[in-house]
Amino acid sequence: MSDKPYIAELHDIGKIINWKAIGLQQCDKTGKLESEPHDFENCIGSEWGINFAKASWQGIFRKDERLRQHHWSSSFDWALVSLADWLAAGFGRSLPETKLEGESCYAKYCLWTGNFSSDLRLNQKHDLHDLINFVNAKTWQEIEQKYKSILYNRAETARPGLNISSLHAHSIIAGKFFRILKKLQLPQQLLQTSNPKDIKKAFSPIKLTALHMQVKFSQRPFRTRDLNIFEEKRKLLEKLSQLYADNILACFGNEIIALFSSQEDVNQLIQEVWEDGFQAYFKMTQNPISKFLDCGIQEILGNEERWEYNYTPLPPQEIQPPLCEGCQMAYGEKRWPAEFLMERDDLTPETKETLQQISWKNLRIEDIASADRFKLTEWLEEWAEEELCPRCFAIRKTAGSLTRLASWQSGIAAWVYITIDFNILIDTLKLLHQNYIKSMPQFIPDFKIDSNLNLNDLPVRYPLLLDFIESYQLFINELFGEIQNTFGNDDTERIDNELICLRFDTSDKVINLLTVYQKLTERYFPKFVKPDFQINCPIRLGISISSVKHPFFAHWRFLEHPKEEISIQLVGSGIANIKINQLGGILNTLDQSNRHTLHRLHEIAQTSKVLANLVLKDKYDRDSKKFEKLREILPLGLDFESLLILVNLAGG
Amino acid sequence: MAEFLKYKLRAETLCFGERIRGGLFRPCAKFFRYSTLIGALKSQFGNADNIHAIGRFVQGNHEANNLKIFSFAPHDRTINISTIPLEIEYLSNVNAEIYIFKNDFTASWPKNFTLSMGAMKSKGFGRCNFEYIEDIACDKPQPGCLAVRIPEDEFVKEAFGIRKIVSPIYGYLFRPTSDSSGVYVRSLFEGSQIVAYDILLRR
Repeated sequence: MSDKPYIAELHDIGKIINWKAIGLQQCDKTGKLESEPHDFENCIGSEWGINFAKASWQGIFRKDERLRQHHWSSSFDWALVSLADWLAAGFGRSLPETKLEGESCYAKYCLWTGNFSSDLRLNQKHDLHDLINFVNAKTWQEIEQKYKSILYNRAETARPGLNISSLHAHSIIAGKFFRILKKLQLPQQLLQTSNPKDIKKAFSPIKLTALHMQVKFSQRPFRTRDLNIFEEKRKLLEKLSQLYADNILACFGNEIIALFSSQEDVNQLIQEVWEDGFQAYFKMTQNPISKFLDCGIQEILGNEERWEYNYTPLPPQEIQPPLCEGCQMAYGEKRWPAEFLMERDDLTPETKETLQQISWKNLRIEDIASADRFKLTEWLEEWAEEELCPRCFAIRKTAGSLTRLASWQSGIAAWVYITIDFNILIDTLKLLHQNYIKSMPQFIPDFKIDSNLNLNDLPVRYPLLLDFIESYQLFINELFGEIQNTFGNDDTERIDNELICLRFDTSDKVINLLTVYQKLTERYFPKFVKPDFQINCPIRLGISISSVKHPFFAHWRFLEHPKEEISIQLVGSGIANIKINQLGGILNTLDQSNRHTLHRLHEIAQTSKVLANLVLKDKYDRDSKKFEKLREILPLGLDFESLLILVNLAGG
Repeated sequence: MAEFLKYKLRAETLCFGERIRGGLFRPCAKFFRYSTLIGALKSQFGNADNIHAIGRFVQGNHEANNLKIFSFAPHDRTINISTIPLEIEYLSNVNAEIYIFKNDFTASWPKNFTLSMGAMKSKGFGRCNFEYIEDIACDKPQPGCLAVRIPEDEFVKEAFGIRKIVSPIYGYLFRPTSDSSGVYVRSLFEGSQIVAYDILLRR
């Protein structure tokens, strides 16, 4: 990492200073405050001690032609930083000031909490000296660590209504763009240009490839060992994040959003996924840089569905039986567990020979050499033979121990999986941004918005996405931590970043799980939880519940494609779909409902759901008053099927 | 242009059984398998090469086409005891549409008939009632998303007007080659982007 050029990350570092408080931002003769000198334009004198030999200053002074010619005449990095800055900017860089006018907002407004951060900008002269010394001597990583809280709290742009993404996110994205652009083969003529407008014009037709990819697998995990596929996937994503660190702008769940200057690099990334035994499901667009300057993520990636799988090489036309029971995409040449056991060092050659010769289903304990019988008893009792391809065999063979999961013999298992719906995320962020701008007069009395500005066109750009992903990761980690505290370590097993399994004795504990989720969603994303029916929550919670021994893939086929903000499957009974903004009301009602009432309704539904619906609504039923609370849930938008599932769960 | 006979299929239970996993659990596919449907029709009407058909579940009703689980202990006759209980997934209250490629042979089939399809027939699963609805004419293949699973076979592609495979999702379906054996053939799975007659496509 240390030999990478981290010039662009520092280009806006001056924004962490409160230049007015220090006295370096003055008012002109008319009393109007001059533009903030955050490019250190008032710090050129020797008394400030800027070391112009340090490459980072080239990015900061990119607009000063005199300094460029004097200190960095042979370098073109200043132009690439300028372009990277524009590409990484949130919306508004090209928007005239008259469109959104008002007093500057330096603190970042968080669209999903509705809160402003604090203005933590440094306001003492010695802070400015310290910063200059740091830029002179330290790496970007060291500077980032020191000024982390300010970078996260300072808005990338202080223009009112547009202060929605952090300076930190903007700096990170600018750095990536800079290094992507640096790989371009640039014409000599361009390298001699010094006018920023000419640079923009010259770069505009150059194309970049945008990739939105999901890493999928065809395996259908059945045994605990098969869950190793999630660990393999996690390792692959980590590997890709390192190999393509500059190209990957966002990584969440199994999804990647990346940009490339070369089609070969894209193809290479996709091929790496395939070679690691996974499926790359992706869409890819090529756009000129001019489009990246003005458009949002959704416009760049394309709205229409052009997703495809990579099949290079093409799967074979025919496969002779047996088909691999794991992935069902290859020949099942390996016998599990016989061939796995044959690789063990602690078994006698005699036993290994027996395992080779006798088919598993015909094998009896008496056939095994006496010295090995004790070691294989459990295998013979618990495992039926399966035919696997080498890949699925390796996944099972190299599985780490999920000791808690493997030890659960009785009770109820709930598989919990959290994902983001990307399209809903973008639409929701757009809507929240529109609402924020409309609400600006509350915060800034002199705020003016041009009537010709179409708020529906506000694009969502990369820094905002990065800020959201960071909040989401913190949310996931705290949520799963809270779940582990609530249910106990012995009854929780975390499989993946977004996948956890819980065990409990009675189904009503799912209500506790929902309560934890409700509480944390309200804290991290209160704007999603508010009963504003225009806002859809992009975060999807899937819960699938059954007896502990029910095969995982039956849960996975439900969890992988959540249909609603909260989807709960009770295997063998049905599915409940709930919106997050209904959840609080539903939990309150279930909490207040009489357990006997819940049981009765559930019992009736076992015979006939239609009858249960009639009984619920019948005002002459003996429990009509007790059902009143349950009836209140239905107008919240919950359908009857979902209500029955929740009643079933809450009844225990 | 091609014509298809549209039938309504109703069944109390239907099991598109997949391979038993771990000796304990037999999953049920939630999509009509071409081979299962053709196999059942051939059993009923004779083993002809020119039978092509697809099935699709009717959406929109929570009460229909749900997966349920049936537990039973298969009896091993050789040792005369029941083995470890097996859980079988099956579809209950099945409501589906079947589209059968119309030719002289299939046009002679009755308007209403009953046949057995899928796994666990000996246990009473898979008794399907077919009721003829209408003839469907398909003239122009449309771009869309595949709603069924279909072998990547030239005759099948011709019958269903598959003109172009834009973005495939591949899997494998079993094709019997004799009474006791067969081979897995590369197939197009649901979600593939293709150009074909609209009866194959998601609505």
